[in-house]
Amino acid sequence: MSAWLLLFRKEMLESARNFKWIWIPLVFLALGITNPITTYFMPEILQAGGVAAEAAKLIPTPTSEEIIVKSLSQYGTLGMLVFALSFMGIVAGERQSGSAIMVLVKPVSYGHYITSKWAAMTCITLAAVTLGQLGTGYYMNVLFDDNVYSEALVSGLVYALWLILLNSITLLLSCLMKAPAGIAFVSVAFAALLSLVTQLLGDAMRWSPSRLTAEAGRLVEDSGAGDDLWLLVLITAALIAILLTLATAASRRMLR
Amino acid sequence: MSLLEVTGLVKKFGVQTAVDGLNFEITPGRCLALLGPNGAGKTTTLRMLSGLLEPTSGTIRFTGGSEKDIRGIIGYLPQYPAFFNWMSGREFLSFAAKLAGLSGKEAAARTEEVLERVGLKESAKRRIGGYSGGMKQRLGLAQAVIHRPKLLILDEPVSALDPQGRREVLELMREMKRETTILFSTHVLHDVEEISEEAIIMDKGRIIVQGDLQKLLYDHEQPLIRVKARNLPIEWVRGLRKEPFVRELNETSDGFTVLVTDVSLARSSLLRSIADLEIEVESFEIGATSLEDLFLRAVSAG
Repeated sequence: MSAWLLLFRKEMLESARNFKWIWIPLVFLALGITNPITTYFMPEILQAGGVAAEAAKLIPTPTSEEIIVKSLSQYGTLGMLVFALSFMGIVAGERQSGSAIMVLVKPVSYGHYITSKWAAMTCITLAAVTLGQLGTGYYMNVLFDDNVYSEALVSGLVYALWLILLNSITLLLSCLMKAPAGIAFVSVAFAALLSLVTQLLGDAMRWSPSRLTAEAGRLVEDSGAGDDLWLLVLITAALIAILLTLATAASRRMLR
Repeated sequence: MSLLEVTGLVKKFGVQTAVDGLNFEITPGRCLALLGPNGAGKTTTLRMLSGLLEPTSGTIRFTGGSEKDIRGIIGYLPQYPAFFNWMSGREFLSFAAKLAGLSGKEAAARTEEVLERVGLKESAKRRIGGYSGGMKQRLGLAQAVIHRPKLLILDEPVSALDPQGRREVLELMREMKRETTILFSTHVLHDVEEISEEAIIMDKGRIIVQGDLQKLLYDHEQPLIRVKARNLPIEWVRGLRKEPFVRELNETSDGFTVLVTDVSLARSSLLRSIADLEIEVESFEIGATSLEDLFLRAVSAG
């Protein structure tokens, strides 16, 4: 356990020293506050763009639920890309440089090596999504006088689970592949493909973790938690466990 | 009683066999050099011994320790040590010490001790990213010995260094020899003669010769005579091949070298001919083949 904590601390310290702990949460904060602000100023923006004041007023103001859901969907596109790009080298980089050897030649468990990295990725992800959702909540409160903090946080948590699953895929690929750009590409392509197939096949893909994104949105709307939410959470957790097991097995073999 | 016994060690990468049936043992307290040209399988062998690579077949048995994880009693320095460049030297050593299972207090004390030992005390606070090649190599040695391993495995510890760094590292190895058993690989013969007591010469994944270095030198030592002269009659030199005392003859740009069976016979015979033929000799030297000759012969024969 103390060896695991040591490795985890090293990962956290590394992310702090290379500023991942600063810029990733800042990106999410920016994504989180953009929607309430642009929505609030939309009439002015439209008028400045030459749309008549009367016409601008006709555009319905989106509900706060819609604003939160829009923030979430941005975490799923831009946010996911940020994670894929910043974590693609998490193992591949250490293997390439040779620093992985310096750790693995000590009596360290490969499982600890992988899970400590995963835990550090998960901490950044949770912090970033929470900060983004707090940003959304704050501006909703200030601009629309609407208190949606709890909805924003709960839906953010569910959405984060989807992002954590994608991070686990990036981690596994980072043990298997050498080229960082390829790792990021495959991760993103996998997420896009899974979302697409899930939408196309509908009921047959009820179990698909990408439906967590829709469930996170439903949590904000009045309809409340869908029937499948807990099923999806369980399936996603199981998939993460499988991915971590595979990554551990792959890391045993990666030193050639 | 040996520290480590290797039997029938084989490693295959796909169809290619990198290590092909090694058998050897390491005696505690001795310094063993693994010598061979590039691609001989030295790095692969060391990585298997240090627990980084799984052998395809064969066994590695440590008689020294009962630990289930052999990595705990081994210190390993890879050929190109890479560190976390964002850490300082002190941070890295303390990290390595704790990874090896030392308690916080022990790790801190041992870190200072080892930093002093390898002469990095002044640079301990600096980031490793700014270290020179020699400093990184010394840091690599430091992390390898931080947990007082029973066996220190060094992969080409001096090959990439300038003469100054080379001297420093060899000096450190000499000091460490007093406390632990060292196994190191190299393709530089001079290093072997300088600090090791035993040697294994490898080529193409196999052991060609192994044993006590002095004994190896003695067994493979052959007397030779080196002659440098101006007006050497070629027919005479070539004719020497037929003499009973000549084992091997090599012509050089300014003379010739003969490996001989009987030095005294060869000396008197050669000197007589030189006098008869009025050859203008510049030097006439009697010596013996070196480890380098042994190495080159072993490798080209295998």
